[in-house]
This record gives sequence, C-alpha cells and structure tokens, in this order.
Amino acid sequence: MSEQPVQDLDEETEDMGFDPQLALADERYEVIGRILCEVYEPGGHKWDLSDMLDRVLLHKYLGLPIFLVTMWAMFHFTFEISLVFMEMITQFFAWLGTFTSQIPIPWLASLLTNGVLSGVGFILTFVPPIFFLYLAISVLEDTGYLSRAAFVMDRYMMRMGLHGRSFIPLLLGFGCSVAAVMAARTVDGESNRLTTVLVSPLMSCAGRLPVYILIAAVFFPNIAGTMVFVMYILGIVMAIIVSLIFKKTLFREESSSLLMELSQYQVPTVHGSFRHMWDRGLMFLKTAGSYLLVGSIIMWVLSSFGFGGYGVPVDASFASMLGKLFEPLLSPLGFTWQIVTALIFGFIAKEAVIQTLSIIYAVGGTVTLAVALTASITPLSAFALMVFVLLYVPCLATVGAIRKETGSWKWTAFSIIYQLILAYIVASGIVFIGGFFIV
Amino acid sequence: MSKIYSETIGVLEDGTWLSRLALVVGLAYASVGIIQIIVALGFIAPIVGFTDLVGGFLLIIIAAVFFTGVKPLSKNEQEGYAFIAVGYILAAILFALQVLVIITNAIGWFLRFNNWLQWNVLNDITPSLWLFVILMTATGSLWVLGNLRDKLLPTSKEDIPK
Repeated sequence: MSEQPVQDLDEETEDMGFDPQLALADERYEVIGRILCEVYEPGGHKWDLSDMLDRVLLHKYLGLPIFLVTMWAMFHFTFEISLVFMEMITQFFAWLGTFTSQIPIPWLASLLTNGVLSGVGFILTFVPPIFFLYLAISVLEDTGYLSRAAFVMDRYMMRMGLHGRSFIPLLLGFGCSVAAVMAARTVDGESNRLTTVLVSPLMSCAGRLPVYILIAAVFFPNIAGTMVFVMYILGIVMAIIVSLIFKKTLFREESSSLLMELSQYQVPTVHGSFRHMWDRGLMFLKTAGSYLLVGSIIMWVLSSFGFGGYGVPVDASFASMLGKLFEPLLSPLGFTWQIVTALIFGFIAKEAVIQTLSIIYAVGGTVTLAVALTASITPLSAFALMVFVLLYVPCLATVGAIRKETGSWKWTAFSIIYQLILAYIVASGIVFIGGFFIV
Repeated sequence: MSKIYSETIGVLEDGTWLSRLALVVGLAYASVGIIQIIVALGFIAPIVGFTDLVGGFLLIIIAAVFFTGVKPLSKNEQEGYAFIAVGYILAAILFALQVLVIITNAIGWFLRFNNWLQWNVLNDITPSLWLFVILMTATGSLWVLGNLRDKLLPTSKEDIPK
C-alpha cells in the first residue's frame, strides 16, 4: 500500500472519530474471547493478588507517586548499602598501592600506583553500587512491576502526545544506553522510533552512577541517596521534555495507543535475581578490565608527559593542554581544566570521567579525589557537573548503536550535537539560577 | 455471656475497624511526613532522624495510599483491602531499607573505617523505621482482637441471649 492512500484512510477514520488501533485491539480481544468460550470453563469468583495489587499500583492518581517511591527505594538501596563495601575495596587498593609505590623504578611505580590503581582500581570501587542497582532492577523486572511502570507512565506520555511504548526502552536505559537504543525497535512508527532512539541516552545508565555517587557523597553527604535519585528522575523528565519538543518540531506523526499484556506478579527467586545481576554486572567488569585499563594507561601517559618529557608538573602535561584548550568554554560553569579533560574522555565511556579525574589528581600529588574536588569546585558547580554528565554526548558504544539503529550519520551527529547543547544550557541554567540562592 | 465480653472490648464490624485502621495509619504517616518536611526545610529545630526532605514526601505518599482505602473499606468493599496491602508493602520496603542501612553502617563502624567512626545508630532511626514498628504492633493487636471477636461473638441463634 502506498503512503498516500494510508494517509487518506487515517484522515478519513479520524474524521469519523474512529481509532483503527483501538478497533484492531477490540477485534483481537473478540477473537480471543470466542476461542476462550470454546476451550475455557470459568471458575467461581476470582480476584487474585495480581488484580488486587494492580488496582492500586495502576491507580489513576496513586500510580505515579508509588512509582516514585519505588524508584527512590531502588536508588537509596543502591547508594546507602554499597558505601561500606566501596570502602572495603578502597582500603584493599590503598593496601596494594603501598606495595606498588615501593617499586624502585619511578616511572613503573607511578604507572601502577597513579595510573592503574588510581584509574581502574578506583573505578572498581564502584562495583558494589552497580551490582546493587542491577539487583534492584532484576527484582523489579522479575516481580512484573517494571512493565506496570511503563503502563503508569504511558498515561502521562500519551497526554503529551508521546508514544507510551517508548517508556520501556527508556527504563532499560537505567542499565545501559546501548540496550535502550536497541530496544527502540519495538516502538511503532518511524518517527516514534527515531524519537525514542534520540532520547534514550538521556536516561542515567550504570556508567554515570560512579560520577553521581562520588559527587553526591563529597558535596551532599547528608542527602547523597536522594541526589542520585534526583538525577535519575531528571533523566526521565528531560527525555519527556525533549521528546515533546521533537514531536512538536521535527516529527509530527500521531501517537498510537499502548496495547500491553501485563503478566501476573511473581515472587522473584534469589537465584534468578542474582543471576541477572551477575550477567549484567559482568559486562561492567569486562569493560573495566579491557578498555578502561587501556584508557587508564593512556591517561597516565598524558598526565605524566609533556613537551619536557616524563615527570613534568601535571599543569604542563598533555592532559592539561587538552583540558585548557576547551576550558574557556566550560569555565562559566565553574569547571576546571581537570574536569574538562575528564569530560572529554567521558566520550569513550562515562565511567572514564571519574577514572580520568582520579589519575590526573593522583599524578598531581593530591591525597584523595574528594579533597581535590572540594578544593576546586563549589557545590553548585558540582551539581551542574552531575547534570552535564547526565545530558552531554552519549558514550562511544551508544553512538555506534544509534548509527546502527538510525542507519544515518546525520541523525547520529544530531544526537551528539543536541545533547551537548542541551547539557550546556541546562548546566548553565543551574549555575545561573543557583547563583541567586547560594552566595 | 460472650456477647457482653465483645461489647466490653468494643470490637467493631470487619470493614469498619479496618477503615478506621487505615485512617489512623494514614494520619500518622501524613503528620510525621509533614513534620519531616518542615524540619528538613529548616522551619523548626532539627529532630534526630528527620533530616531527609524526600523521605517526608514518601511518608505522605504512603499516607495517601492508606487514605484512599478508607472509603471502600468503610463500605466493606474488597477493593479497600488492596490499598491496605499496598500501603503495608510500601511501608515494609522503607522499613527494610532502613534496617539494611543500619546493618551496613554497623559493619563500617565495627571495622573502624574512618567515615564510620562518628556513626551513631540514633541518626539512622528514621520515622520510616519506627512508624512501621508501631504499625505492625497495632496490626498485631487488632489481629488478636479480631480473633477474640470471632470467638466471642455468638455464631448461632441459640447463642444470642434473650
């Protein structure tokens, strides 16, 4: 069927106040009903636990607040519970560092202590929160609540003219943006699919979690868990706002109804949940063991070498030159050259932001990253940095996935550019507005 | 004779006592949630465990779930039980979470990690923790009372005193 007759049919049905999607759904359930009448004998009165829970969890007004409580509980769990385990890993690497720093060859001692241990070792301290986050997502998935969350959000997304099914890929984005971009295939309609692909990287993936945790713990210790939760919610809000802007400007395709079969609630098994957690967490460990290791060595080289060779002050290193090149652009946000360099390396993987900062400050001789950060940026700039990391360019793997899914370099470039502009505008807004409240 | 006991205890009809329970629990969570928000915003003097602003809003959401169940429960509608159940589940999640926080902080304190040296368990006794303890105690008492009611109320016409 060509495009024109389809458009004519759509307009005709719209004029008649007739929704083809709903008609198809009705017809589908009528067929199911006829088959059931022949093969199924209904029992007595049935109102099971799933129906009971759905009555409240999918409630018109309570559904969204309950979803927010669940989300908050998930991030509070992820952050608060993992703190002590993170400290154990930190202590372990600090203990290892006492040996590597004793190596008589200075450059090797520096490479292992300030490069590998401060880089990969530091990023490995974030294994507990990432594993706990995956565990929480697995439990929510296994209970059947995650699909309900999509259903709850659909009501609000439809009200804004967005496609409800888009929320499922967005939820997957909490784990990894690549998975979210690829899951956009399930969304009906070319424009809806493209919108979903473009906004999926705005969701906070596990790679951004180390940045949030570090900054929240250093600058907002009393409300650290809540700050992490706020970043995840901000990701959802920004994805919805940007989708809305795209729908009003770039894509004008009509939204279609969400038809979703909700399975019964299940009690998740310990084995199943931990298995899912392990499978997903393993990906993070592989990343840390492969290109984050290579990245930490490259970063150490850039921080330790300059035009004067090895051992130049970190201010005269290649890393410093790279950061200072773009620093004027980001200095209005209060970001130092160290942060700018870290953000550049964050394009490879979001975890690399923290890894880079750790190596630069370690080579520079600062005792801890926390001390260095509090000395170089204000809490307001720290919050702006969290938001910037949330919104700016997708990581390299996600860019690859966007290219694959859109089949277009034009849309891929658009995705990178719009996110950079968005991150800059929102972070600037935070610094500007926050400046009035914080002296 | 048995009817006298049930009247003395003042046991109400099924739906009525449950709706009153939902109302009381809702009021408790709402009032503590509001106080927590006021304390977190700095309008009144700090209270130990009342520092988290979002925590206050969460308590109000739980209160809203219980309040929504009051009306159907007073009419003895089955739907009302769903609100009570979800209210309990949400309250239990926040309680369990706080227990886990206390356990992990205790591990840090026991291992003498720097950030935990000043840790005091009182700071982790948040309203979501003690409200749930009170809620479960109240529920347990009502359950015992409900069982008493079943045993004490006359079950056949012959049992009703003339």
